Order: sequence, then C-alpha cells, then structure tokens
Amino acid sequence: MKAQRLHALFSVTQGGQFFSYDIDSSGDILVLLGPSGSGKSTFLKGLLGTIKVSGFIKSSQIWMSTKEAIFLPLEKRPLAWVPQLRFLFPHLSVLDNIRFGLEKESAKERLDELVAAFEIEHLLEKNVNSISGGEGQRVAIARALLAICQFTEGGFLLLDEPYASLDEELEQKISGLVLDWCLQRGIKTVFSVHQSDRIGDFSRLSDVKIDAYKLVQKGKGLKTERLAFPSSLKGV
Amino acid sequence: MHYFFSSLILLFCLYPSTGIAGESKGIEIYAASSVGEVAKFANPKGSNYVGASSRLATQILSGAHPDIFISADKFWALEVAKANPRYAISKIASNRLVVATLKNMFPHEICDLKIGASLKEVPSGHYADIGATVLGCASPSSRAPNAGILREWLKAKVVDAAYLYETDVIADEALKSVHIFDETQVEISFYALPLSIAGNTWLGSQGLSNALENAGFGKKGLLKKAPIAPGSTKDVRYKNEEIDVLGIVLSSLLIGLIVVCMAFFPAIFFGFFLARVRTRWTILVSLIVLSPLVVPPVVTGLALLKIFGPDHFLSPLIHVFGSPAFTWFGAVLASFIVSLPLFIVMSRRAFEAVDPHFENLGRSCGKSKFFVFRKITLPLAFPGIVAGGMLCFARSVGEFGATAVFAGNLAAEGGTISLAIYRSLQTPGGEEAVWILSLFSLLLSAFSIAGYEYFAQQQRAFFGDNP
Repeated sequence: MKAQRLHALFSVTQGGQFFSYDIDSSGDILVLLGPSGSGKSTFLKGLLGTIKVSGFIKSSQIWMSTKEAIFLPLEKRPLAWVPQLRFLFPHLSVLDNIRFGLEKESAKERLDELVAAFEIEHLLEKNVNSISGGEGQRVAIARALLAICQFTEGGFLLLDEPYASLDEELEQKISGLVLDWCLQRGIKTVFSVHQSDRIGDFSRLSDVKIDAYKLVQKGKGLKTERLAFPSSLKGV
Repeated sequence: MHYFFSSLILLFCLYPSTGIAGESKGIEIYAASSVGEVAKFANPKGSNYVGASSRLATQILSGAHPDIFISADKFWALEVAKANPRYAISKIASNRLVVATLKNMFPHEICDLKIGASLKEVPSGHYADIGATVLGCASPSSRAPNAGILREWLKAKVVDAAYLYETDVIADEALKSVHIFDETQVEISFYALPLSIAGNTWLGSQGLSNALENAGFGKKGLLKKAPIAPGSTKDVRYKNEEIDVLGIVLSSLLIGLIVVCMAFFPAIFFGFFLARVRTRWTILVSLIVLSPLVVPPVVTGLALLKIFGPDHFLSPLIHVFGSPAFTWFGAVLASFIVSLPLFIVMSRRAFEAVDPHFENLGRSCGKSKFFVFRKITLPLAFPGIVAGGMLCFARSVGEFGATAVFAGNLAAEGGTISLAIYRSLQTPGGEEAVWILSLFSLLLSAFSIAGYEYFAQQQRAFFGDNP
C-alpha cells in the first residue's frame, strides 16, 4: 500500500523567528532534519494545526488553506502524533493511554499484537509516573500506531525526535517495528530528527522511497531545502 | 421600667392562652434588640428576629413581612406604618436610659468618664445624645454599631462607661447603672405595629390585632396594671442560653453544601471558558461573574434586594413563587452569589494548570474536543476544582455582608455562622454562643484550607514526574 502525498507550503513566525516550509513528499517516509530550535517541531505543529500558519497543507484532502479559508481541526486530520516530551496522559494507566485512540474493543487484536511486539505487557496496569522514559516512549508510539489505524487511507504518523529516550539496541528494534507497521498499512511516517541516524535502520529500506528535507538559515529566517537521499543523509 | 418587666411576665403567662398564633406555628415578630426577650416570651413557638429597629424597619420596607414589628423608636414605627396604612402603631412599653459601668467601678464625676454610645442611627445612640445634654456632658465620641458591641467595649475597657438601656444592664451580670435618667428627661417607648403582608394572610388583620392585644402589646397598656415580679431579670438572662448552636451549625453546613452543589457546574463552565476561550467577550464574562468577589458583599446584598424586592421586573415571578428575600433560601442565594466567583477563579486556575499540549495530544488520536474535555482536561483539572470547592464552602459558611442585607437576621431558622455570631453579640448573655460558634468557624476554616491544600497538591502530583 502506497503512502499518500503530503504537500505543505506555509510560513509562520514563532518566538521572533521566521520559518518557511516548502515540502512536497510522495514517498513513504518524510524526514525533516535540523539542529535544535531550527523549526522541526514548529513544522509538526503546523501539520497538527495547533499554531496559526499561512499557506496551505494538503494530502488527499485540504488540511488548511489560507487562500480558500479552509481549516481542518486537529481531530479531523488523518494523523497521529508522538511528541518529543510529555507524551503520556498522566492520570491514565499505561493500558488506558495505549487504547485512548481506539474505538471501543474493535481493535483488540491489533492492541495485543502491538503490546507483544513492543514488549510492554508488564507495564499495562502501571501508573505512567512509575515507568521509565524509554518505556513511556514505547507506550506513546504504540498509542499513535493504534490511533492511526482508524484511517482507511493510511494516514500520517508524526514522530518528533522519536527515539531520544531509547538505547541503541531498543531504538533499532522499535524503529524497525514502526517502519514495518507503517509500510504495511500505507502510513506515511514523518520524522523530525537532528541527526539522520536517529531515524532507524535504513540499510534494509532500499525499496522504500524516502524524502528528506533540511532546515537551513536563509536571509532572515529558516527555510526547508530538499536533500537527495540516501547519499546526502550520510554525515549530516 | 416597671412596666417593662411586668409586661415580660404578663406576656409569658398570656401567651399560651391566646391561641391566636396557632398550635403548631407561631407568628413572626421583628423586635428591637432591647425588647427581643419580651418577644421571645410572648412568642416562644414562632420566629423572633431581633436587631436594631432601623435595620428591621429597613428590611420590612425592602419586602420582609413579619406579623408584628416592635420598634424602639417612634420614627421607624411611623416609617413602616406609612407604607402599611391599614395598621396603626401602638405604644406598648417603656424603658429607661442609664449610664452603665463595670460593677467594680465607682466613678465620682460621670462627665469625666469616657462614655461610649451606640451610633446615632440606632435609637439607643439617639437617646444617648439626649442623655448627654441632660447631664451636661459632651456628646459621646466612641460609637459602637449597636448596644451589644457597646457592652463588649465596656467589658474590654475600651470605654469607661456607656449609655445603655436599663434592661440591658440588668440582664448583664458584669454591669451596673451609675446614673438612671428620669422618664420625663429621656422618654424611651416601644411601639408595636401589626402587619399582614403576603404569606401571612392566614392570620388576618383582626387576628393580628387580637394577638397583639392579648399578648400584652395592646393599646390598653395591660403592662401598666401588672406588678414587678421578682426574679424576672434572671429569666431574661437565662432565656438567651436557648441560642440553638447546633441548629445554627447544621444550617451553616447545609448552606455551604447546597452552595457548593449549586456552584459546581457554573464553576466548571465559567472556569473553563475563562481559562481557554479568548474572545472579546471573555473580559465581559469575567467582569460579570467575578465582580461579586471584589464588590463589597453589602452591595451585592443590596443588588439582590433590588432584583428580588417588590416593584421590580421580577415581581410577577415573585408573586407566583414568593420572594427569597428574608428567607433561609435567601441566605443560600446570597452565599451562592458571593462564593461562586471564588469557585470560578479556582476552577479557572485548575484548568490553566492543564497544559493544552495534552488536549492536542488527545485530539491527535482522532477524538473530539468534547471527548478530550471529558477524558483529559476535566480529570486533570478535577483535584484543583475540588480544592476550589473547599474554599467556596468555607466562603459560603462564613458569608455575612450580602446575607445580612438580603436574608436579614434569621433567628429561628438559622443562618450562616457569621450571622449567628453577630446576632449573639447583640444579645445579653450571648457570649458563650459567640465563642462556641467562633471556635467552630475556625475549625471549619482549618478543615477547608487543609482540604484545599490536599487537593491542590493532588493536581500538582499529576505533572510531577511525568516522563
């Protein structure tokens, strides 16, 4: 199943800094690279619709367009999101966090499958404040993967510095699981990372199309610049 | 003086035989503080609201409807009579003005003493000025809001002496009279006015007149015929121990609970609105719902009186359902209006403490705003909202200003603790009740603050070690 095209052309001023994004990705994976503060999270906020931007964002439908005065609220956008920090609901158990996006019990099998693959069965009844950062990140990714399953046309998985809390071995494992899950279901993965090696194992992704963008300083603000993949990602 | 005490005894004896007030339900009397005890003897089954004549008269003119009003001042009796021309005022008893000191004081020259008096607006304060002129002393400069507080000043030695009614002095063991004014020098008379306004028509005007007459508050001045009964002053004093402390405490708690229940949903609604919605209307809504927090409670009470008083746009509704003014529900309503803003402010704070990030996270899972509100925002804010509820409870139990104006002095049915303390302060021998009620209100405050801290901490714990 092929991932949808994402075309985002918008600009925004955040914290006194001007950001301009011109991203047109029809690949399975979209990678946005840049150091801290370069506007990666701002791009994801633009996709989520939690900040006011001008321009347009569209996939198979229009998410927002300043010109056409269209604005799709967050809950209607075909995406799931794993933020960089505070990724769990603090008052819910791990299990309730994971199944937050599920419609009743319809996806019980998928839940069991993910919980087993992510090795988080032993955490299910725990309070989220009593688990480690790495465990929490796995729980959050599992929740996003389940939530995104409700979209018939694939959808978009937004990962903001996703494997920051995981050690290398676990990172390889989880990133592999995430990529397999998404590729099978035509879910486009949108990564925001500061280094290309935080995306996961690319060695086996020869048949997968990856679009990569980098945020660079141009004039008074930061702009996106398309990178050729995979050669250009090396050494970034 | 003699007449006064004889009336006391006579009324006490006459009451059970009158039967006018009904077997199960007594009549409602608003009585000047200084004849409050007489009213209690005359009307043990009914409601006796005791206070300054001026305040009681103002309440009646604002829509309160007792069956009988007994004023210590002809002016206020006439004012009320003007508004209720069907009924005539009757002079029913007289009292004497005295200069009182503590029992252990033996002053030589009265005018050398620092003599306190009630405010000029209170009849006893007005008589005090006449008394000062008679004595040739300067007009009193230390003015207490009422005779009850003046007595406390005397005991606390804030003043050396005080212009008081003889009945008050006799009823207070710590005080004695050092000068008694002749009735021809300072004439102090009590006037009764039978009223029959909506709600009390069951008595009928004739019935009221009969009740008054039979109870001794009659034109014929039955009291004049009766002799002084020894021990009568003692009865006056011990009668005060019947202040129903438990009833007042329960009434206060009930008011607090009802107010918290009434305020719960508005607090959540407005708290969330003010925390999350940013429109040009936000400030207007804030202004309307939060103003009772900063407006003097007395003004809030006056506003309520205007809204629910007679001759207003709500009067057709009030005609059907009855006015909450001067009722127990009025106390609830006044407390509600004054306490709600505190609840809203706390609830707003609780919602503001919830990072919108979590709401976005919930919505990114494809859930509607309302679903996210129910499952994320509200549960995360809830301990903070409950903490606000604790403060709202404490505020409503302690409410005084608005309640005093709008609900009056609810003696029989119980009001808030503050009202009861204030009333007890005005009543000779009410000190014990004052202390018990004060202690209880302190305990209640401590409980509320502890609850507030506990729940506020619960909310903070949500965001403590979250990975």
